[in-house]
Amino acid sequence: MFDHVGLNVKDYAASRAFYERALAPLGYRVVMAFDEWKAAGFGTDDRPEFWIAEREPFTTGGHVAFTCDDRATVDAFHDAAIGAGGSDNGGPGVREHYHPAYYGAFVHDLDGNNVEAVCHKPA
Amino acid sequence: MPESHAGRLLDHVHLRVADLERSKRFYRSVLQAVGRDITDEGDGWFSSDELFVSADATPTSGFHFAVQAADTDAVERFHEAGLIAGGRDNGRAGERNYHPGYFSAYVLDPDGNNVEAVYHGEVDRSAPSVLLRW
Repeated sequence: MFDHVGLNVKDYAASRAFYERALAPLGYRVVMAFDEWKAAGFGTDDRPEFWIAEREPFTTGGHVAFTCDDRATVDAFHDAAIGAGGSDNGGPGVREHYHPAYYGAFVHDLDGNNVEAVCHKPA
Repeated sequence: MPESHAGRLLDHVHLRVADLERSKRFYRSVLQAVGRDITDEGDGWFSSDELFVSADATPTSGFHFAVQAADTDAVERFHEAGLIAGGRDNGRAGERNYHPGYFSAYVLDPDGNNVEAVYHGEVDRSAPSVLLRW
């Protein structure tokens, strides 16, 4: 389905730093950056799948969830994202109403968009 | 040969919309243009694989995502379908200079989010999709 997704952020440098720390536990880093356009793309190899860019209209009410291989990575994401200036929007834990093994954690990024890490595997 | 991975970073994306039926018409049309479709729906929501859309809170705005297109024709169909189904032109089908062969088109959905279809050129794809079972 998706090739990539992107959020328009108010502050490129701050949001880039936030996502670099928040996504590091998942193994994602900036793999392509256009600093003159204030845009950076994250991925594990050279293909960016998640972009942030400082441009209007700023994204509001957006929600993106990232896949994790295990629950410890979900926990580490939540810690890292809070440490990087995000605000808690739901601590790591099973959300049985989605499905019995749905283990997610939720953080609002610097612009208030809802960022999630999720592991679908049973513990 | 360069390699890259898809299908393991993004789990899902959630859009909140102002008018569910209007958005359903739009997304059904643009998804069918690239060979996808609405795959599930219920009271107040619908989904297509990893895309979840609901009308239960303040609409999402300023969001961008790109769907995969199998060829340039699919990109062109996507753009036409989007305009007919209530979207607004945000970049006609054509090559962009992101990398050689990057062929894309852009339509603003009914809430103004920027939806793209992209074809990256000839590629050897390991599987048509990742199938998850619980």
